[in-house]
Amino acid sequence: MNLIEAKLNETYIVESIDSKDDNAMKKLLSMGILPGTELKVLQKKPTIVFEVYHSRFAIDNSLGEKVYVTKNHPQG
Amino acid sequence: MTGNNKYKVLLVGNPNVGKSLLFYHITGKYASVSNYPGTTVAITKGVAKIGSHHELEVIDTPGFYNMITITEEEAVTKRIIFEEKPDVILHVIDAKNIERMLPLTLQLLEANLPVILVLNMYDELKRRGLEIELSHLEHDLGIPVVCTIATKKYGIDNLISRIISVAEKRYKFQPIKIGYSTLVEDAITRVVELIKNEYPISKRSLATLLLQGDVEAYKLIDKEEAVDEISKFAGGFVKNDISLKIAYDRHRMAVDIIGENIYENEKKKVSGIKNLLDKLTLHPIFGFIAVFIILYFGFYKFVGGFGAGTLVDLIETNLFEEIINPYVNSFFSKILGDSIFFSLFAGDYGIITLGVRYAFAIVLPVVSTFFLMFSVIEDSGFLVRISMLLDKILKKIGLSGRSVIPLILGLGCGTMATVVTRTLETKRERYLVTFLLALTIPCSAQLGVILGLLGGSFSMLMIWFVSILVIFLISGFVLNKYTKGEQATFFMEIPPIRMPKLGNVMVKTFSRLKWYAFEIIPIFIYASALIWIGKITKIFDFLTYILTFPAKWAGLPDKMGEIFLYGFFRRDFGAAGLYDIQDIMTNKQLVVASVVLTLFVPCIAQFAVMIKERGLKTSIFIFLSVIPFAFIFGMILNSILGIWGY
Repeated sequence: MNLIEAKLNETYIVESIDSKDDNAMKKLLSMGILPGTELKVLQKKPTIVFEVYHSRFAIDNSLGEKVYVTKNHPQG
Repeated sequence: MTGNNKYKVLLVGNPNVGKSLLFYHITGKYASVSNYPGTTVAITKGVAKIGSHHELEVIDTPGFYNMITITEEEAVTKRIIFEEKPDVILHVIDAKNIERMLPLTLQLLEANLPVILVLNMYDELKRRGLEIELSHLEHDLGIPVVCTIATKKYGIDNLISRIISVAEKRYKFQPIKIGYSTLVEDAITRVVELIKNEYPISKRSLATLLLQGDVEAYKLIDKEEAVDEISKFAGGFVKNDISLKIAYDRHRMAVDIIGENIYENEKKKVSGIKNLLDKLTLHPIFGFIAVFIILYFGFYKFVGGFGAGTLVDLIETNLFEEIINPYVNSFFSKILGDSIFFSLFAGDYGIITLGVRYAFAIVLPVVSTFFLMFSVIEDSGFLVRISMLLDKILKKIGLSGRSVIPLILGLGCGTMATVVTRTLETKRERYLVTFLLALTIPCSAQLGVILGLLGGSFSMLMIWFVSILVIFLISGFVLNKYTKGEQATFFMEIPPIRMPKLGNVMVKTFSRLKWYAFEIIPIFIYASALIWIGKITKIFDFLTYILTFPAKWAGLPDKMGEIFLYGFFRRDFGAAGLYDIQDIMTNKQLVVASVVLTLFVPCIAQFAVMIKERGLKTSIFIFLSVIPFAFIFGMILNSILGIWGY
């Protein structure tokens, strides 16, 4: 699923980034979003807000739909 | 040691990490505490004398995320790194965000640049319960690492002494080697073999840029290099997501380094009230309510009421009308008599009695209270929240949340706001915002007078406000529809809500006022002189005469023609002229005149900046479309209000 479909207050692991749009990818990289990065969805309206490491970012849907995530199952 | 040793020091890093404040502490000169992207857009240079024989030339660069650059600002920073040959580069980062920012440090040290890693906002890292093994981190990276808290001037002396030791080449750099996965590593090796000459950055670093198809890197390498071969070789990798792979490898390395050097001391909780406020201001409903509260008290009450009301009355009436103007008039009439030169300095349109008076009595109080308010909402982290909340709505007219910054700043000074459109990402968005600034956004000088004129009647003020809002939306919608190009995307870091520090707010307000005083106030004075020339040559009479026609069509008195003309030389001249003739106008005329004047062409200063930023052709197009639009809308509004029986 992509970040738009992600649920509020859940933690996810980034699976992949849609790399067709070069510019969008650079922006996502600058926020530290990479395959394997853990992020938490804090808000979905009016824009997506998520926490990655110790920062929060707001991104619009056109960027959010390019980030594919899976639910993070806490291990052990 | 003989004579002066001059060294070049470069500050680089993400926006919002306190670069500009560090710059200020090192040089003692104020740039601007960059909290919103844009205050450091122009490169700021300063000189610091350290002891008797060291001099540092410090350059503050715009926000920089990655050696592969996205925006024009970033490209500028990269060009400076390539061209200026700095003796020291300070990579300033937000200490608590080290995971996200260390990859850039790795890129800089991979390029073999003399980097010092500056962990700023060290207190915020501590507050999160994190501890850092400083000397160990320094050892692992092989470059100097310094902790600072710019807002508290902590760590500055230490930083300066490290700068000197690096500049004098007394520090032995042993930068860690960035290892990549086999595929990337092989590709880099191949490109490094193809590069013959030496460049300001290491071949290895250059190779990673070339492999990612970086435009500036291709510009950097000489023509005699095997450019075609390199780009053909790199082409295959660009398609194969090499950027992602490279970024991934660097990132993994950064995480490894941090894992060994930073540990969690104890879990700490942020205070409840701060946390609640932080959440509320981001909330889709409460956030909007907060925006309205801030706009009401901050702008309407403080800037409109106190600045444009109390202060303007005090300075305008008590100081100029009662003391300065009578004195100036009698002084110049004594020495110049009744000659035409009398009216250059004194009288109704004199440089002192009009130019200086408007500058100090009307504009200064409004602009200072506005900039003060703007600095507060900026430093508190509120401005970013407004951007985030409005992004979706602004998308409908082709803008992104980021454009909130120049648009709000435009309420202070449209000229400054037009400069700040540089921070917007796409050419299209910059154009749209420039247009809207020219057409709809009233600057604080105008706003001050309009609030003063209409403030007494709530219904008049609302008619004006709704008219401007409707035009903003309609013109935004139309412009969006007929302007080519792609919709801008939006992303922004959201800082925590913080209590703005008084000192920082004052310094920032002061630096903006200084800009205003040096860039704008002289234009006031020139404009007064131009008006004088225009008047004695009768050119103005002719232009005024022409402008009385559309004024009449919109149901306004003839005198308005003159005000519209002055409105161009300074939008606020026009507004202030309106202030002077309010007694002869009906309420309906006042509202219509306020609306038309708000929409009418921007002032001469803004027009000049528009030409500089957007080019002559675009500026003339904007200029010429604004004039008929302003009058046509004035006529429509006049008829609507007439039918309505206002």
